[in-house]
Amino acid sequence: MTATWQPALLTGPFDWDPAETPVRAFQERVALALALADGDGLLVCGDRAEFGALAWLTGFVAKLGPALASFTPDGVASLWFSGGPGMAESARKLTWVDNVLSLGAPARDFSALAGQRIALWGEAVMPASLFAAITAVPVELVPMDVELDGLRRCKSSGELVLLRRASGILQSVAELLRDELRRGTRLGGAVLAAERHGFGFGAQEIRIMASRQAGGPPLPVDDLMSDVLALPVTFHVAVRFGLYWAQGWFATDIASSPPDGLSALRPGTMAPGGVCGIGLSLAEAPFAGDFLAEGDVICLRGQGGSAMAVVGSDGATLLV
Amino acid sequence: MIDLAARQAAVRDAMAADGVSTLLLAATGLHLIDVADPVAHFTGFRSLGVAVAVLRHDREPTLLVSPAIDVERAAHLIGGDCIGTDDLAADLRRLGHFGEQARWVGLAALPVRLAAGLAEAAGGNVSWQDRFDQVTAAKTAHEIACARRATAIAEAGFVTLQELVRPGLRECDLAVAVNQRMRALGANDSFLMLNALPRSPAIMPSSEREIAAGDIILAELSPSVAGQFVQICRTTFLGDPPAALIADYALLTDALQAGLAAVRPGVPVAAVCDAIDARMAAAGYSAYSRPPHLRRRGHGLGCGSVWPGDVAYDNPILLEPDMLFVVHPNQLLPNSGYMMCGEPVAVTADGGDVLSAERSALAVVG
Repeated sequence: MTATWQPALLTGPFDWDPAETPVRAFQERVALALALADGDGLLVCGDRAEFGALAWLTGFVAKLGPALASFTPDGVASLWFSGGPGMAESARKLTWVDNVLSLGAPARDFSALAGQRIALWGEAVMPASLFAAITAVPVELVPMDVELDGLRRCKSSGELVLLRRASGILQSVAELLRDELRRGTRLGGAVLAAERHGFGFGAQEIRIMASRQAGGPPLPVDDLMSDVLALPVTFHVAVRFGLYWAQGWFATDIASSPPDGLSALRPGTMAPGGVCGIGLSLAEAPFAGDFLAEGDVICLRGQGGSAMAVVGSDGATLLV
Repeated sequence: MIDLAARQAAVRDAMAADGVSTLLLAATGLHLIDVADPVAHFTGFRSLGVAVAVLRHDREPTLLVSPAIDVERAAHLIGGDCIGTDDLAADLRRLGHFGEQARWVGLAALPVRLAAGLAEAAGGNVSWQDRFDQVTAAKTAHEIACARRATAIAEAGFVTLQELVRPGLRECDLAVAVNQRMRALGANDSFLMLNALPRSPAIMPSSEREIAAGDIILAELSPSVAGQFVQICRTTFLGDPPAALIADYALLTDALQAGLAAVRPGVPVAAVCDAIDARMAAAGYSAYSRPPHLRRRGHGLGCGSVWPGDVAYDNPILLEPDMLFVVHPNQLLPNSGYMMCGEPVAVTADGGDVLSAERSALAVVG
């Protein structure tokens, strides 16, 4: 899994935009998830570092801690966010769901689920303390990440638009960062300049890691290295636009070129090492070893750089 | 003041006193203002992903770091026995079964499946959280120095906010610009809540709303330096503030001074809250000083430890020298809505050292 340095609080433009993802698209996704969910309803969890499944169903961004959405079998949605009741106004801006509530005491918030068997999506990110509090209601939570994660694989035309925008910003940010570093700008200053550049193009957030040593692996740009510049610098950039991620690996001494073999990445072939799905999560299905499917969006990392691509019937093609 | 070695020695002493053979500290990889990171607190290393520090009574600590690639940074920073791993449970199991006297700190914050796997690998999941927090409550000299620097950065960030704010600017764009300024000054991260409304029910994360004349801009400026967060709380009026708002804000800052004056070793945290509540009660606002309107009058400052916890009427924790927390009377008032003022304070031998150079005052722009 790709790891990036998680900021303490997301501050960029994250309000839900119905023009990007209309309510109808969310409702169709909810219907698909409920059709697969085993039980009396569906509960989906997201947390600060990973809220892809939650965002896929609701658009919500878990800025302040765990957030949960519940869906009755007939699709009635409710959403609980971390934060006080007074914050509901800002939370409502993040989602199409009307019933948005502060996550207070789970035993009270989820008392209506007592005795039920509820499908859980997002078990992989649900804090143990929250899981314990909800199951104490008591409610039986049936983990279904394996069954439901696959729903997010085949990207719609609307999702591809957002992924292409993210990929375009990624390239522009990476080029600016490379230029700044080659020019001798200190790493911390170059990172801030690259972030400003990305925000100027509408990015919701930009995360950058860079090598500590010449040619080494990209690592967090923490306070120990913000002034350090040891060329060549290798760096990792992740950009989020419309909630969708694009990421890439770059170097100051090598002009990026797409890895070879994109055309061989056809539906039904096995994703090789260095390939990982990307979308609302930085790392999502398909993973290396999975069989590719048409509509998968992948990040492919090779010797000369990396590429964002979509798998089509004739192989993978670059997003931008 | 203590240093990191003294904190580590205090933990080992407490382990021995409690008969704890092995202590396992778990970190999520999130570094937050009001959620503790016990690995960072014990080792000084802020992990990229989930990390587990294993402290056995008879040997040096072992740090399991994920993702494996981050071990280079850990080894550089803290040296010692650092293991990079992409399978924490498996590598924890390889270190051996720790027995019934093993204890955990931070396990409940991890994702449930991972937490279960680690507990199974370690042979138990008994928490030692409160004890760990208690014996590591004091900040180190380095952390307090970082807090001072972060406070100066927060104050500079507030100057930037006042310079940039204007009608038509989106909240989120202002927040991004202020964060950029604070990072340019040396902050490694920032928890900046900023919102603007003519009358806010609470402080909230920034949205895409465009700021308008007559708005009250609320800001919790919370940068961290080397992982040590601080917080100053500020209120800005865009336009000509009504007299009632000015009076309400003066009441809040008066309450803040009362709270800060109550800070000294040996008193419970609740005493700080009580001092603030008393001022608000005298003005007739008791009903607004409890949930759902208000949860706390301040809090500890991570990312290592968040002791002494919330500045709340029911917090009995006794203040000790070198504890660090923010005092903020922030609350909703019937005339003006929610407003904010707050300063970080370090407990000294005989009182509190307010870290900010300037105290909260209603800022007026435009």
